[in-house]
Amino acid sequence: MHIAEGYLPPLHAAAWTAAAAPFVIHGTREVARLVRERPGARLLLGAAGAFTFVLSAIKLPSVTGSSSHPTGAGVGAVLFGPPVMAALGTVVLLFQALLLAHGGLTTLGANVFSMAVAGPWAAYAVYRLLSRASSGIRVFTAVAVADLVTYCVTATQLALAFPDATGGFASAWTRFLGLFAVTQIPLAVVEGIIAVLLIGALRTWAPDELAELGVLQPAPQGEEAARA
Amino acid sequence: MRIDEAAWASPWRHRATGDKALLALGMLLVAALSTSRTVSVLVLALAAGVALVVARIPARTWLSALSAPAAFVAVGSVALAVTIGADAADTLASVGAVDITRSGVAQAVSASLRSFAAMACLVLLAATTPMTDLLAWLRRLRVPEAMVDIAGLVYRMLFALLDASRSVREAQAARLGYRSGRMARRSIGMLLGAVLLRAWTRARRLEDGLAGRGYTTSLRTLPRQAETSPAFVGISALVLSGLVSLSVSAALRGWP
Repeated sequence: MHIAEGYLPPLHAAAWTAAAAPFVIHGTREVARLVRERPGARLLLGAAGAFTFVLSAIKLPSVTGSSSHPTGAGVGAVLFGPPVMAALGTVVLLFQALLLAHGGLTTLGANVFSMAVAGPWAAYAVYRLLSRASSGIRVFTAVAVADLVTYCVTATQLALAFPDATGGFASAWTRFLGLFAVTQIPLAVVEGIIAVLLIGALRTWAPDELAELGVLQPAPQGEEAARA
Repeated sequence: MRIDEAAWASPWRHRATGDKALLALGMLLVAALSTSRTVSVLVLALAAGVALVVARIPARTWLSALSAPAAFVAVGSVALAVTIGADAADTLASVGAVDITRSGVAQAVSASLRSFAAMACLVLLAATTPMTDLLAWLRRLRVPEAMVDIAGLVYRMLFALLDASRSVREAQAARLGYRSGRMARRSIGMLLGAVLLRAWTRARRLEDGLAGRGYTTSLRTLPRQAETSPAFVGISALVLSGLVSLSVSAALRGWP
């Protein structure tokens, strides 16, 4: 859920930009290092960014009948890692603001923080913690958690900017959480399921690429022989 | 991608990016920083006038861009306007336990107006300046080279991938791939897998082709040199100083 251009008061917009900046700078350094070491990585990163944009432009049929767009934060973190996702996510959010009028420049920092920093890092942490679980459960949980964390952070940003006159932050927070839950909780579940299916499809079509990204252990010899 | 099409066809296409950015981002800054509804409405009207009359952005493109955040603004406004257990003095109306408060409605109106005013300024820039010009401008502003390069690659690959995803989706739909929710989720998983794989293959082929031509640094193209127009900058500066002084006096005199 993108916070619209100009919606946040100026101080809040500036504060969230400052909060997101170190992560984005770290991600940019990481990207610059990758590109220096392997010039070909530049093109793969471009492809990853374009893929994230296309992913977020797809309309998902949701359980409750509402349609919503996936954030791509969870899948991106699992496939490319959170630092790279912070940098790519910033590019994708900038493109969404300029090409689709989703989000904006003044709220770019706040949106980057929720969708390209908090979501991916949460997904990555969950993915790491569940290293013993089956791959399906790991991917589903990571992607669903990324969406839920993004949604909670967005609600927090809005509640901090617009606290309730009588109930203060807590009252405003529960209200934003409640209103966005209608679309965001089904979205988390659906995006989780789709991520499992996506990784499953990639596992059959592109096991080598997945192994290169470190998502999949290289297939053991026996399995390789059996497939041949 | 109506905005992108409008940008390439815009009569302002050959104006210097810095000139357009000065006007649009300057107005955006005034809209975002102002706390007065009067200033928001004025910026919105001015940005709409410049966009539709001077820069001749097609009205349908402009309207669809401006209404893109409408759903978010609507939900946000509901969240701002209602509360539970408000002071009786502040209550406008009550539906059961839920109260609509005067201060909440005022806050919702201010935030929504500010948002639409800022959006109109952003659209003024986005629908008159193609992404390649904006990226060249960012490079001149010393945004890290690696990021500008990757953004350029994303833009280059975007349209091919969107086309691919559209045709895969059409093919799936023709084979009843979206008949039920379960099948739709399966189809979308496969669709995304196919798109990612295609992106990858394309990137790898581009890489091989470029490596053969000695590609090590960045994929640069010669930017079209656009001259800064003193008249445009002068008028922009005049408009901006007018808006700034209005905004300051609005803040000092406490206009709504």
